[in-house]
This record gives sequence, C-alpha cells and structure tokens, in this order.
Amino acid sequence: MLLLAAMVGCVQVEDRAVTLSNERNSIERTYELTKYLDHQLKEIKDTYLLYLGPPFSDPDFSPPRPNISSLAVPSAATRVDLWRGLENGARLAQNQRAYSVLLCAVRELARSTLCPYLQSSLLHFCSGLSGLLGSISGLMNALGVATDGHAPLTTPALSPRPALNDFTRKVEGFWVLRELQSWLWRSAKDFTRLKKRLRTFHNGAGHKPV
Amino acid sequence: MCLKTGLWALAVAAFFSQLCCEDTSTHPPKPISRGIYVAIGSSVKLPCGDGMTKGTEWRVNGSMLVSGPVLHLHNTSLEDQGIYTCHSPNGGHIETLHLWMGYAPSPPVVQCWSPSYPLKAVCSWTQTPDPILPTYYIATYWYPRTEQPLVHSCRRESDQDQQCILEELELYATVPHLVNITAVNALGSATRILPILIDDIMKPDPPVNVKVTLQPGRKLHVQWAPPPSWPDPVNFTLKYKVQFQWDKRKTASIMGPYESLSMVRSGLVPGRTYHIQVSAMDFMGQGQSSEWSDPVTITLPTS
Repeated sequence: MLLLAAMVGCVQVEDRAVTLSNERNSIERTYELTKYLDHQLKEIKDTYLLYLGPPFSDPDFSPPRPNISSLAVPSAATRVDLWRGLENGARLAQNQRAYSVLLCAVRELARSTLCPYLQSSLLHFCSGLSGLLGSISGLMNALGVATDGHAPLTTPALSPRPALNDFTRKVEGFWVLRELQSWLWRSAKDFTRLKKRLRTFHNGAGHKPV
Repeated sequence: MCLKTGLWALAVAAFFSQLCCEDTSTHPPKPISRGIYVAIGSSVKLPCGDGMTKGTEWRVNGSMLVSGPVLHLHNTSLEDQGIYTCHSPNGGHIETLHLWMGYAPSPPVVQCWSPSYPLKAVCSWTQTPDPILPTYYIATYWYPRTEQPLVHSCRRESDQDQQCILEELELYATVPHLVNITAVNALGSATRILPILIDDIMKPDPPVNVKVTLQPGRKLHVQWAPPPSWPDPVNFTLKYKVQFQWDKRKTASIMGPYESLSMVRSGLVPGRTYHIQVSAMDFMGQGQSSEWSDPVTITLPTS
C-alpha cells in the first residue's frame, strides 16, 4: 500500500514537473515573440515617424504626453523594487491588460494610415501582438491565474480620426508607438524573470521563489 | 611749591594723553583690499578709492602701470589677471586689487549612461570654454509623475565634481527623467536640462576576468565574467561579443553575441598572435555596448 502511495506521489510529482517544463517552454516562446516584435517595431517606428513628418521625425522630439482617456494604456513604468516583488499572476495580468489596449490602438493606427506599405506592416504587427496576447492568456490559464479577458475590440483606444494632418492625432500615434516600445522592453524582462522564478520553484520544491 | 605740583601734573597729563589719545590724523588709513572677477574679452574701469584723487597711480607687480585715479583695461585677457595696487602721490598704499579673469558658465554639455542598470545611472558634464574661475554645480533630477513629482539631488562627492549618480529610477517609462545641471561662478550661471529614458542609456562596463586558454586542435577557449558594476545579471541578462585581432591589430573579426560566459574559436592560424577582447550589451540590444575589455594576447604554437 505504502509502495503504491509512493508510486502515485511520484507520478504526481512527475506530472507537475512536466507541467512546469511546459510552462517554461511556453514562457520561452513568449519571450522570443517579444524579442521578435521589439525588432519589428524598431523598423516600423522609423518608417511611421517619417510618415508623420517633422517635428515627429526629428531625433530628439518628445511631445508632452496627452492626458486623454483615448490613450488609456496602463504605463509600463515601474520602480525596480516594485517590479521585482510582483507575483507571477500579477506580472502576467499587467502585461495582458497593456497589450489588450495596445492591440486596439495599433489596429486603429493601421486603419487610419494612408501609406499602403506602412498599413500592411502595422497590420502584420497586429497579428504578432495578437499572438503575444494569446500566449500570455495561455500562460495565465496554465498557472491558474484569472484572466480579465480581452478589452472589447469594438471600442478603439483612439477616438475617430477626421484628418491625418491633425496634430493631436499625430501626437497620439507617436505615443502609442512609444508605449508599445516601453512595454516590449518591460515584457522581455518580465518573461525572463518568470522563467527564472519557475526554474527556482521547480529546483527548490516548496521554497518560495526569489 | 604749588607751581611745581601744577607743572608736574601738566606733564603727567600730557604724557598720558600721548599714551591713550593717539592723534589719528597723522597715521594713514589701512589700505583697502578687494577682489573682483572680470569676464575675458570685456573692458573694465577700476577706480582707486573715490576715483577722483589726483596724482594716484596704479602699479602691477610693483611696477607703475598707469598714473591716474582710474585704471581702464580694454578687451581683457587672461594675462590681465594679477594683483594691482594703487598708490597716493607720496607713495602711500591706498588699495590692493586682486583681479581674477575667467568666463561666465555656459550651459554644461551633459552625458548620461547607466552602467548599473536598473539601480543607478551616471551623468557627467563638461564646460566649454573652461570657466577658469572656481565653478560649482547644482545637479538635480526628477521624474514628472502625475502625482507629486519629487526632485532628487543627484549624488556627488563634492560641489566641484563634474559627475553625479542618479538612484531613484523609473524603468520602462515613456516620459523621460529630467536632469538639471546648473553651473554657477562669480560671473553668472547657466543651466542644461537633459531628458533621459533610463532604458535607452544602458551602457555596461566592460566584462572582467577574461581568460584565454589553448585547446587541442588549434582552438582557443575564451571565458569572461560580467562586470561587477552590473547589479543583476540574472534578471537583466547581458549578451557578449568577442573580438579577435591579429597582424598588429589591423585585422579583426567579431564573434557573437553569446549569452553564455565562454566560447570556443577554432580554425586559427599556427604561429599567429591574437589579441582578444570582450564587450557586453543588454540582451535586448537596448542602450550601448560596453567598451572592449583590456586585450588578452596569445600566440598559437607553430607546430
């Protein structure tokens, strides 16, 4: 009986090990996707800023961030002590909320871009972002974290654009890409940390990860 | 008897009056001593005392410079710096003037980087032209939060240091930190405000403990360690490039990037001397690469 109980326990531990291994693989793939999107964004951003024209295309240009509800992207900004202390679930949830809003925002940007090449690049980028969002939701399910669900796709993060040469609309577009950049930088570090926390948890069974 | 006493009392009084009541009109006033700061290239008029006493003269290093109560210096240069003395017609010393030449501060040229991301960033600055005069700096920074933005003092060893350390950093911010460096000296002040995104200015120090060992089959095994100033290489991974130079450093090849702390290079030429250096960079390619580490030299045996 004891032997049987030990064997069942062993199988459960092995199942857990396999699950954790799957999660680590999943995090690794999400991390690689983040790096790929960061690389894509560098090219799109340069083209988009040229498309917006001066002063947006000037290297040191930095307009004030509009404090409007239409740019309601949760900020990636954080202090290192707060960032380190985030629980796995909270870390993933923050990423999910941010990319839900950003996906809508970039879709809107693509829709209102008049340059066909840029529009196609932005739409391709959106499919990558959508994949990232799906990956994050999958991770949250695997770790047993409640997901918010995606933001309603019918509500655009940007208000309707009457004309492309409206300066305010250009500033909004500028800021969407800047927020996206910050989030991709942050996410790469978030997934690196998640990978390491899961490894630590697996190696030191029962000990709270660092 | 009465007359003798009276005369004696008068003498004592006169003696005491000489002792305690000095007649100041016979002693010259102490010379005035002052220092003034003058901008190079400007013109200046320096009056002696009230600037109206005739017969006074100005001397520099003991030699007569100009006679007259006012010293005019036109289109001043650094050579005009010195100690000027003003003298009365009878040679008496009226005034000593220390003249200091220099420039008012110009807005400092500021550069910031983060060798200890995410904990610290460093800003350093220069002044062109060099003000020459003693100049002190005020260095502060703040992050424009919507709720109470806090102004932090950028930490320095002393007020004359031209480098400071930022420690309360906001990571992944879309709105930049603002670094304010103000230079102040006797001729004025000047400010530079530099916006910085901390994630953009990462620049690790070069990797350390670079070791190169020969392996069988004309291979070199290169290993290194992350710079000790990088506080968290586990969460904030670095990637590394390795540079091989030969032919008196005219030819080079760069390999990598590697996330590991070692690599092996094969297919090397026997008898050749290689100089090997390693540099580090944030694994996402953010910010700048470090400078190359000090070269390690190894010569492959000819056999």
